[in-house]
Amino acid sequence: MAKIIGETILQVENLQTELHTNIGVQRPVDGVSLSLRQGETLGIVGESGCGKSMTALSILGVVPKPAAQVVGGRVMFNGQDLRTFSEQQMRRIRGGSISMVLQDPQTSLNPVYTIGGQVTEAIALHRDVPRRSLMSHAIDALRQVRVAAPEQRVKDYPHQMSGGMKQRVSGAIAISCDPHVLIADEPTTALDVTIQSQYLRLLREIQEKTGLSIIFITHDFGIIANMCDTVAVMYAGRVVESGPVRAIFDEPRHPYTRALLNSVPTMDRHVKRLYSIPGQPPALWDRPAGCWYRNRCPFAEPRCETQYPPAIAAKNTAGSNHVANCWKLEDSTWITPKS
Amino acid sequence: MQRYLVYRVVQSLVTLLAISVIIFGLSRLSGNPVDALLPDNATPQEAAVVMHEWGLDRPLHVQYLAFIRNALRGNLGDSLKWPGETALGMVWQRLPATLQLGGFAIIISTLIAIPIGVLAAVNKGRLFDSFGKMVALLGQAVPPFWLGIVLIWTFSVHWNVFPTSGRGGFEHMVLPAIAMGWYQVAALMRLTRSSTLEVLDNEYIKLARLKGVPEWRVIWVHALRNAAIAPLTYFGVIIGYIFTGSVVIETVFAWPGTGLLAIEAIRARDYPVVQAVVLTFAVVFIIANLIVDILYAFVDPRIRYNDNEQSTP
Ligand SMILES: Nc1ncnc2c1ncn2[C@@H]1O[C@H](COP(=O)(O)OP(=O)(O)OP(=O)(O)O)[C@@H](O)[C@H]1O
Ligand SMILES: [Mg+2]
Repeated sequence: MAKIIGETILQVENLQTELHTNIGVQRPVDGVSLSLRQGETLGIVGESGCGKSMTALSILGVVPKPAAQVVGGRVMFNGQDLRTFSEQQMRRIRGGSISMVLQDPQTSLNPVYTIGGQVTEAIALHRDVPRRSLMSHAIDALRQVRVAAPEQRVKDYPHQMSGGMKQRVSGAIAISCDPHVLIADEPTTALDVTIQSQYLRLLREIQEKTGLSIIFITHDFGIIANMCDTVAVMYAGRVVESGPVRAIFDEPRHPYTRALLNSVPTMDRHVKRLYSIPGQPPALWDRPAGCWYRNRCPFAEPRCETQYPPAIAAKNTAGSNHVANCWKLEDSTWITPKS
Repeated sequence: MQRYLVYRVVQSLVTLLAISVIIFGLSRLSGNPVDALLPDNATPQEAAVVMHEWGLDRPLHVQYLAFIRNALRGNLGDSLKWPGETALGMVWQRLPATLQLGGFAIIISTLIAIPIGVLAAVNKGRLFDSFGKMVALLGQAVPPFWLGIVLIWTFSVHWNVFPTSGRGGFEHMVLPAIAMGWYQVAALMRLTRSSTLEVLDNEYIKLARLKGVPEWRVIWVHALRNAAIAPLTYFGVIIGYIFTGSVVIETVFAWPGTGLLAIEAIRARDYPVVQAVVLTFAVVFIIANLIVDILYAFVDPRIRYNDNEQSTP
């Protein structure tokens, strides 16, 4: 079942999103760069509030209006910068070429419209199919995500379905128009464990069948290990480390990544207590000079207080593309000590 | 759905029964009708004769049962003020005028209030929202009778564009409908605004945008249908306001409806007519609420399927 990974399909460069609040202008997304190839799954991890969802919404240009606004960077999709697209062009991208599944299945379907209506709406918007056969396409999409008896289910309303089933319907909406990229924003956080693993398996199957590229947002490293080819670790609105999943797990370079991995309980390490990272990420309105992680970092040095570290390549066994924003990487022999 | 309907119909009947008790009780508390019927110098003996003739000397529960029995046959007694007319007949003569004006006021209020409410929510904190707030503030601060008088003075007396009073064509309805409806516009608008704001915060609205749904459709289809649920339930209340409000507005504009009839009947202590008016208002109010609840079930499938088996996957 080896996946075939192709050319870069989505390249996010230095994406910046501002948020206007009554305490001033903040940057929940502050220079995020990501790269996704065809058929690949990119995981985005990070603590709550680090800007994962906002990054995803910024890619599609659907940030909460009028408070938030994408103010800088590029979103290169198939060689074109989505940031230069008109609203009308973007509507064709949204749900058509790039679709998204949201976190909470209980609230992400409209309660007053039928399942069938909500799936056919997407199809009618993006695919050139006659009105008559819309419903049969919707039924196909539901069948693809393993909704039992989809012919009956299309007449149901969301409140008649379980959470796991609703999340499948969201999935059906997302894949119904054969997108190139699927952004899944913690799609399984609200589901219980067995339903969760079924859902993840389903996503992988669809990916194998269609060559879909996936951006998987989560704070669960177990899911990352299970699903992803590459990982981007976000901290306070920026990516601080990224690389192939093996490299991140085996040789994390950024002290923050290490700390996150340490906070994951595992069966084989008999953790007595859940390790949690001491301290708080800097507030959106109060970014310190130098590295934003230095207040919590056990390895902080004087230079960390003056300049934000650039992305430095980690020369390690897992090969290329592994970079981390930490001054320590200038010393090529440095490996984050296990704690 | 069927169980819901049956439940609502039974509930309506019980309400109606309770109202009949209240109406009957209140009309007896408002003074002895015989005092109004007889000249001041009538002797107690004469009064007793009249009381007996009208059955007013019987125990109250007997009077009530007789009242109900007759009411069910459509007989609410004869008018005391208008000889030769039945109480219900008087109401039926006047009801179309009230329904015409009230219906007009409700339709106009809705057509104005809902779009303003939605647009105020969409443009929250901007100029349009402030404009909406002003409309609401004025509507809720100004008493309808005063508004009616000001409207007459401005548009009928001063500029002479609308007639001052009476029933007639469209131009006769404009001023009373504004006086009657402005408060409703304000209430409905604020309700629509807040429920739209709440709905727009939902994940399914975000998902609609992420699906590529055009913004106008997100607002007027995805959001409005959900946002309409709260204002819709309020319609029952509005219909009540319109009817009770008709008493004042019809008096100000000399609109010959049931509201004006109520005032005339009260002045004459014509209690069969008063009873008939109040009972009619109650029946209309209850029927309107029943219709609203049925519509409500159509808009919100969670109500409609409440008693269905939850089909689990
Ligand atoms: N609508 C909004 N209004 C104001 N602030 C917001 C809004 N949405 C997000 N934020 C802020 O933007 C920052 C980034 O939020 P975001 O939802 O992207 O975090 P996240 O990484 O997805 O977190 P989680 O894991 O909890 O979903 C947070 O500090 C949050 O408070
Ligand atoms: Mg999030």
